[in-house]
Amino acid sequence: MEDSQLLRGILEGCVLAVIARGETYGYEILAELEKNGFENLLEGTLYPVLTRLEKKGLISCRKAKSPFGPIRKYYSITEDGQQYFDEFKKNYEKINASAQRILQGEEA
Amino acid sequence: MRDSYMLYTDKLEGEYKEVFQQVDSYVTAERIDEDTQEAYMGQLLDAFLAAQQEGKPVEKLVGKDVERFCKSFCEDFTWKTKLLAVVDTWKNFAWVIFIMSTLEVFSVLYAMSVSGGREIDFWTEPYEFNFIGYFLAFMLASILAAIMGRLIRKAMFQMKKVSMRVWQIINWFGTAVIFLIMLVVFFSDGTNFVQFPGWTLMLGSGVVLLIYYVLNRKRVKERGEAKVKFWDKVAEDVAEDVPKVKVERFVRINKRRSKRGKPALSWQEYVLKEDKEYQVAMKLDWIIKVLPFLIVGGSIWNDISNQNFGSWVELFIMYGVAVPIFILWMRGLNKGYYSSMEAQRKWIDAELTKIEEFKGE
Repeated sequence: MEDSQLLRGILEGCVLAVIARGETYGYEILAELEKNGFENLLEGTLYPVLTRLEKKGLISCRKAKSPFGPIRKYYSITEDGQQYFDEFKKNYEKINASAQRILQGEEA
Repeated sequence: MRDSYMLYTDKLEGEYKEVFQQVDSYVTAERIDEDTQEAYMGQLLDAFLAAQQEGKPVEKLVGKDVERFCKSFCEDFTWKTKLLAVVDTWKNFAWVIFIMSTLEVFSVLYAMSVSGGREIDFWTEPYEFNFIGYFLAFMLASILAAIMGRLIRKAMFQMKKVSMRVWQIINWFGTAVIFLIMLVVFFSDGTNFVQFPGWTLMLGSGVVLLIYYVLNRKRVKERGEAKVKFWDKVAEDVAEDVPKVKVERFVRINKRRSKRGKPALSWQEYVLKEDKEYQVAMKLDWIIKVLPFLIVGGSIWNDISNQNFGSWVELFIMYGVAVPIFILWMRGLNKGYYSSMEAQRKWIDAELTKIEEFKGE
């Protein structure tokens, strides 16, 4: 199984977690994810995730000029996004605990 | 003018510029609508510029395989964005038809008023414009250009230094050539030539445009918000370039002095020289203000004294159009000039402060 398949499922939640900390933009999200161990993540992987989250109404976007000149999109979490994130966290913890038990050979 | 990401691509250097151009030309050949391309490429450019400033390798952004990155980047573009690109192109064609048929309607109305007995029926007077022929040729040309664009994309991608602008020019040129060929081959001999009265084309294209703007009002509004005034952009660029230009001038002056056997200027002397020149320019500032009036006044005076006009009405109309355009143009130039002067003042002050601080230490 490729890493990307495993990654796809949890990336949305992680991106949402970064945005939930405060308004941010693409490159900063990528840097934050990288800092936390997502080393092989590319810009191209991130944008589809951001677009999907925006379409679902989980994040909102504000456009402003970046210090370098081009228009930059600043993302912030919406109320629906916060609810989705809280739920995601609960589900993830539950799945993670179950997976760890199985992977480490423990019995329930 | 749109505040497009394309205005800022020159800020990239070396490997960053090369890779960005590759991605940009790949995405352009995908033929997605302008807004989506702006949103995606604008963000990517922002990331490239940030990475360049931090010295982060470009590989960290796009991985080792740029083509693979482009493919995954384009996977996210839906059929809707591609359809919108086609609709946008047809909208431009509808504008051409609308403007041409409106002119035709006015010319029919004018002909009716001066027909001198010849009967012209506004409702049936045919417009000698092969609308169907042009439309079909245009449609075929856009489709063929898109297919050809896809076919040569790989070759273009491998030619790393081909920028998106060059790609666009090739694209437009290709479309225009195919369009003309289609027109000559299929529609030049008068077959398929159905003549419509001008007003029907005006109404038809008007309705198409209305539908387009109603259905796309959100996009149109966003485009309006993303607009930047041409002269504001010029002023911004000029101001940004000041430090670089000043350093280049410093090097140039000293090279010239060394050729003449004169001692080189120190940085402090150079800044003081800049300050002196600035003061002189500000004293001569009135010339900039008076110059436009002198040019327009001189031109009018010349026309009147040499009788270079048919009638006074003609002269009035000519200058009625020319003077406002000229004033707007001069205002723009002034804006560029004054923002440049302001940026120079800031630069001189900052450099003088640095020199004073250095002396203090």
